[in-house]
Amino acid sequence: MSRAWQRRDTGLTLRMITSFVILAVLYLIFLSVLAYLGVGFIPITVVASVLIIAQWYFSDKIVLWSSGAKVVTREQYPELHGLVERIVARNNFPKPKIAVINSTVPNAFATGKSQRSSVVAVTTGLMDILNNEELEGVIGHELTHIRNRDVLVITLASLFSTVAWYLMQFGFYGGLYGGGMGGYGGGRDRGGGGGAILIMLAVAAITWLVSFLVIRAISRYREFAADRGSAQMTGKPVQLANALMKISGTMQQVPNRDLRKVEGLNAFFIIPVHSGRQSIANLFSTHPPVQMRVQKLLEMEASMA
Amino acid sequence: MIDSLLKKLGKGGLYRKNKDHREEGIFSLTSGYITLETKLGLTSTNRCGICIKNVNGTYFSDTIKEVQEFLKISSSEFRTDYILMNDKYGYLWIMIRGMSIEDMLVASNGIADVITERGFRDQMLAAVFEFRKTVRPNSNLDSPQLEPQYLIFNYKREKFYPFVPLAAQEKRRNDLELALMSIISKEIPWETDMTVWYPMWDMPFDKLRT
Repeated sequence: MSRAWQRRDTGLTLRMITSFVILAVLYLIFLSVLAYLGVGFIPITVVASVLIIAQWYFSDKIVLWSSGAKVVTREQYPELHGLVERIVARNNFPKPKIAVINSTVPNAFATGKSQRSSVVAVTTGLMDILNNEELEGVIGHELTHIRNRDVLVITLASLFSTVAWYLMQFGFYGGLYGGGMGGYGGGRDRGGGGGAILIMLAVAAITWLVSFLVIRAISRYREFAADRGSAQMTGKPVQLANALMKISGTMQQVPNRDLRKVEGLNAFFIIPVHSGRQSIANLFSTHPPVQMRVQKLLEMEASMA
Repeated sequence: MIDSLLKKLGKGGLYRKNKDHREEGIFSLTSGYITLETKLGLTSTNRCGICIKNVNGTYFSDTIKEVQEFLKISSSEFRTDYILMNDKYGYLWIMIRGMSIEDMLVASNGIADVITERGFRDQMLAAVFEFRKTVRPNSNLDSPQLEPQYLIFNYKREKFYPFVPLAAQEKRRNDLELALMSIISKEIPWETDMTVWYPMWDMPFDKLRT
């Protein structure tokens, strides 16, 4: 019998396909408009290709360098290496390089072009606040990002957005230039050209905005997928839920003062204020709200019990 | 005449409605504890404690005498065993042991009724139910948590929340508390605001003879 948490996440797959179809259609329309306007593809394609290859090829180095993460050996961090080795051994997964960031902010990330050359980085702050089981949950989450090739997926998805952004800039300057030419030149053709460039500018802007939002949505669903993968790897979703609540500071809100001491403070009549701003923030965020992730993990825990 | 009308309205209408809701609240544990047992291997120790804020004066002490009368009668009828004691915070604890969780719920509800009728409802702080992990023969042997785990029912908010103290330290097992939440929060009125999951240290459960 297959339980809820073991089933394939068909919802996610469907969303991914839909997202890519929407993106593809958007770019087809966009390219058609460009072709209609007679803009050459070659310069755009060359720039975009160089960018995507560079971004992908150097991604791990750029990420490690910019975050200040240092790859550490087994001798330097024997416990951390041991912990990662236990998870990868259980799940038949190549062992990634391990990096540590000297920072009190609890955080972790994964990067790498392929499963073999991947790096999992954790901050010293993360190791300080999490116990071993919670840390396993976080490592499992990052390993799932590697297994799902999320770096490649997000890079590819961003490519569309990047191209649109460059074209928007190109269109913007083109529009100014075209407008200046059309202003005093007086020629009808030239004036018409300026208008067409303005249309292109608008199309590019809309394309960029929509693709930006779609990428954010893809990214959020990849996070849920990584949580799910971690739960399957460790078998203990509640530990990752714990870790998420500690990292986000929610766990620190669980009080330690005795109920009998706070009773007189009328602490029970404070109604939490929920503002509507949350949903707008969600739209632009790359990570889903912790509350929602914890809830999904706890549902998995309940179905596993 | 208006007074009596209001009284009737109060008894039959708003007051009753309120009371029914409350009873449903704490009584949801009658089905909830089965889930805890089957899914987490947590069984009720059939011990519970009701924590009440003490009040000076004869009217309150009369009320407590009435509660004791009730407990005396019900101890033969519902096979319960009880003890009253004060703690270092100045709170009164009524510790009850029964043969089943239903016994304790009936007893705690009877106590709540007596206290509510005498107008001391606001003094009732919490009802605490104790559970313990039973070691299943086929379970993982990594770390059997045999320390007691509690569900605290806050009378003011009429909601349950988990409390799992780490033995002999003023620290909590948040992971076990979350595990409890994942299993039972849909079945009983649940406190979703974690900032009011106030612990209760050193509860006098061991004062009940075993």
